[in-house]
Amino acid sequence: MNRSLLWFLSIAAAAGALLLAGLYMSWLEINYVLLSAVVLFHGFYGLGTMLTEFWPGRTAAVVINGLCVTLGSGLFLLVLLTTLRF
Amino acid sequence: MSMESGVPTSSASAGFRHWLFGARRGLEAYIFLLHRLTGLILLVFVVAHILLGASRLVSMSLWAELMQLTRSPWIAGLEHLLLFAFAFHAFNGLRLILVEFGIGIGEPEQPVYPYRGSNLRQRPVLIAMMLLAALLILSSQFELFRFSH
Amino acid sequence: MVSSIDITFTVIRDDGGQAGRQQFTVPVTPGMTILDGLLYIQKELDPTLAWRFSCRMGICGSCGMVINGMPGLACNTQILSISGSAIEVAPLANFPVIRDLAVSLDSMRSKHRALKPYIIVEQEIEPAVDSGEYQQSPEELLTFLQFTDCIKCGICMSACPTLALDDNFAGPMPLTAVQRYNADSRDEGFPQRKKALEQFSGLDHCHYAAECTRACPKGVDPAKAIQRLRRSLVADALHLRRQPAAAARLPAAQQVSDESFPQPPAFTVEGADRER
Repeated sequence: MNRSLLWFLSIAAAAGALLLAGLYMSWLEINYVLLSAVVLFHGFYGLGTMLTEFWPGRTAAVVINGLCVTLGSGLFLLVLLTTLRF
Repeated sequence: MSMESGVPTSSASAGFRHWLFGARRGLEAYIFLLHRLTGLILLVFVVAHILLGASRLVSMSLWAELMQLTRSPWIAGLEHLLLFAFAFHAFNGLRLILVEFGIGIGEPEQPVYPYRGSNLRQRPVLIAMMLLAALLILSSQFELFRFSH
Repeated sequence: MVSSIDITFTVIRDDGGQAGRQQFTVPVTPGMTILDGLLYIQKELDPTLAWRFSCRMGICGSCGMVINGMPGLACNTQILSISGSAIEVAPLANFPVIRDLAVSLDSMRSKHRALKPYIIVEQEIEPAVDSGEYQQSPEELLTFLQFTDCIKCGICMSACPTLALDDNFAGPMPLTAVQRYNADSRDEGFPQRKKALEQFSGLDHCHYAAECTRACPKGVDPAKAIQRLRRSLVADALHLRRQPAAAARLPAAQQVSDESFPQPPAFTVEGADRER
């Protein structure tokens, strides 16, 4: 995927998370799953960026990005399961 | 040394210590460090929060036990830290969204000495965002706004 | 006779593998630059001290070094404006040291070269047709003129915190050169430079610490160039980028009239246009 597009999506997710968090704190019932999705996306994108700066190189990038995608997706799955179950 | 284009020759990144302590940096650079730190704090919280909620999938008694833990006084202190981190990261993030799209940093111009670079041009935006963050933090301390949840 | 004060110069030296700090006492008079101090040391105290300098007037970019923690040009930095007691000079960070204060800038130059810092036109009509010059309005020139002031000194590369961690990041100077050419209305090389950028760590590794802008001795503002480059890359990724029309090529018979004759640029130092 185009790196600039990925960066833009992360920023859009951050802005979205902020907006949702703001709305969530007001009278609107916001979908918790949607909020978790954007927060996890932005959070793990940021972590991946930071770690690939500390450990640059192709192999490190694959490992770090792989871990971030796995952890992020895993946590989102947990959110889905929790929300659906309760 | 190789002079082929496209192949960076040996360079010597100064390293993590230099990144953190090695130079007298400007305000924006330290704000960037703080943005990273608060981002990490927030991520740790989000992960802990999701795992806490997911403990209900294991058993309700586990969840009750963990919720009891969160009522301890040092957790209340951590919640304050979380709010500071959120306020800073959110408002600085808003500034970065504007600045990294080239808004608020000024148009290209013929530089006239003494130079007033984009870092100084976006300084009012930085100050405004920090004031908003401070407002959010203060409002939480004094319960200036009531939230419905 | 102007009285001098003694200032301690600490030089971080690397003498072929043996790194160390060496202190010298230099008598400093007002107006003396760091370069003057180093020349005094070399002439009177230690002739083995090595560093680069050339024009001694802030235009060649040779004498970049870290002065009291901040990268700058030695010829452009007055000693007494930094400190009245102690100066510490070190080689530029993020570059391998050749000796003492001289570093190898090869990595910066090869990155710069790899990103195609020249006008690229799709159709090579100019050599074949005896045309006039490319037309470019002053407004079009202003979109990239600032970024042409770069003297390739490497100071911004030393200041960049991302480069301190990731040496596969292109760095402020090459990226400013990319934006300088992308923004030039005579250029059509955006797709080629976009492809060339892929071999380096992405622009998302720039987080607007703006250290490059703060350190730049020529007011190039690399941070501004990088954000504008980022904006154009994102717009391109979203298929929203409008390719500016390439400057009209003049037909062979076009005459240059008085109205289109270029005016000299404005003075770049405030107050220089005043009568003495």
